[in-house]
Amino acid sequence: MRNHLVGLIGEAARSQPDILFLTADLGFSVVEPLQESMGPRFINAGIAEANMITMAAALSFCGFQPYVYSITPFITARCYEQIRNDVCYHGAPVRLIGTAAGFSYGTLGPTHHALEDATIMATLPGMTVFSPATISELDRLFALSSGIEGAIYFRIARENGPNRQSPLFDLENPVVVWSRGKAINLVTSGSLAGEVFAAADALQAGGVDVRLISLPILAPFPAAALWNALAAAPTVVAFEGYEGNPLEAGVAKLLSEKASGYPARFLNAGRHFAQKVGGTDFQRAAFQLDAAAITAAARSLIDQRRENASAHLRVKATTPD
Amino acid sequence: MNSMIHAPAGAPSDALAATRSAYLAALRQRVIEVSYLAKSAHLGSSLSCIEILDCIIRASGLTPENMTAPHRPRLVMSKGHAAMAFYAALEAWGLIPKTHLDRYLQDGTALWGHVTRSSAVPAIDVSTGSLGHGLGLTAGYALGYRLRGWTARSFCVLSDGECDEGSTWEAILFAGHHRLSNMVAIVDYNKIQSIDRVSNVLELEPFADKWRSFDWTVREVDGHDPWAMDAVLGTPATDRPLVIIAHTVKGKGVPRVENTVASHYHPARESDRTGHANA
Repeated sequence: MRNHLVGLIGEAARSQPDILFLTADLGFSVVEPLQESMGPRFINAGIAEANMITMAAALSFCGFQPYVYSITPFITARCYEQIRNDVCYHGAPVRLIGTAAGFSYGTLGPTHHALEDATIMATLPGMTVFSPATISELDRLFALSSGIEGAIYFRIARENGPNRQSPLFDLENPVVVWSRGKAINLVTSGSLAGEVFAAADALQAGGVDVRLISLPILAPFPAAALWNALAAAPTVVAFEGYEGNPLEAGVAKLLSEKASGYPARFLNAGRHFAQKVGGTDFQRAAFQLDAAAITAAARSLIDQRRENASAHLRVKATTPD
Repeated sequence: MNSMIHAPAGAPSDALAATRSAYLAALRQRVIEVSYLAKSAHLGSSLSCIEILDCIIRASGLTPENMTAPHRPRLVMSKGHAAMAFYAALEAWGLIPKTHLDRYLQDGTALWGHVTRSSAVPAIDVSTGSLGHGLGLTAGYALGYRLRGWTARSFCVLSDGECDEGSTWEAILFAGHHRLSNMVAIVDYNKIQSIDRVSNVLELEPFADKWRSFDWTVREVDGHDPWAMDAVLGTPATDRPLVIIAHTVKGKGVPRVENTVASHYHPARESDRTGHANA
């Protein structure tokens, strides 16, 4: 997905001379075409993320449109106060690109995992968080980005995500409904899409009518659009981030405010650093975030609802009307 | 309340020297007055950079007419805690209206206790207050102006304490490497940081050598001698960024607090309002 985004930036930079690209000395075998084509507008800021973010803010005050690139923890947690003060407080239209989301860099270790990034970015005033599940969502987000004032954080997975064409969405309605079933909602965003889509396929194959929904924009949280998209059914929310991530926080708040009456289950990475060496698939399985765990959670919710319904009927049967 | 202070302009002369000395004393008194009325801390940090700020604004060429132009000279007050001095200097140069500072820190007014940009004060380019941001902002301006082909310089006022911050040294390294000769940093080297002396906390010496080794042009001056700073700021740019290490006294002008750690925290007293010494 990062190669695709870099390609989009390179293409846009051809016709938009105000676009700058800054990297903290990362992007081997990805950013070289930009270095070639953008000349002095390609800036290797060195392994100095704080200064890179701060300079990007000032460059935006000179009328430039800076894209700023590094490995996710280094461009979010490492330089968080620079993003908070220099970018967000000033409303600077800086575009932050973090690669790669969640457990994308599984074997590289917990320093390279990105599980709190969406949460800390989403809580910043004025920050828009993009979290594409597919290349088609990323294309649409990139096209829409010129209409967004202030900063954008691109939460990019290493994988390209499911090879599916998403229906068009816009900034007022940034919710993608991939299947319109009525038995259960599966709600996700970004990097975990492959697992969630696979779970949806498994459930469908088992006769469960799934409503599969992804949110390409996590902040500001599109609560109204999501409410319109949800089926009147139980909901499983799955996100490759720690407990309290913006997807589950947003859905929980929405269901609570609407008093939907339907149960929900939230799958996340808990509050633990990864304990054992392993790749992306291994970590997702260990944290109960793989397709099997998502499928099991959905089935359990459906079963629970049936049990509740039959218990309700038993109570009704013994209670005089 | 002080009458409006106006910065005198022109080349050094005995008459102007006397005028400027009186003007700087009035500027210093304005800060003391504001600290007393608002019960504001950071009196010592403000009093050490009165001359620095006046010289920087003078050298920058920033005026009420050009202060919102895209290619204007840029002033970054990285030591944002010395906001009173920055606001008073801007006021003297007609860059913010006097009414703002008269009501400093009152509820619902325009000026925060650390330098903060808002639509009410367009002369303030960027907000500061957390240390270690200003030099990177200045480097970003300098790089942007070079890319744009704009000729104005960018100026940054640093505290000595924020030279503890790694991000400051990231910016020093970047600016030196890229030969950002269109930027000037001036360090208010008053030798006292937050709760202790620089030499006790993290020694900066040999300070000039450190900057020089990062490929900066270095000048050391008496930070309370405006003519000396004017001279350095007026010399043609080299092919490197310029740092002026300005040796100053924390709390300068109020003998009771001069060169004390407490001057970072205690506001001016009523007795300071009339008992101040000229710079």
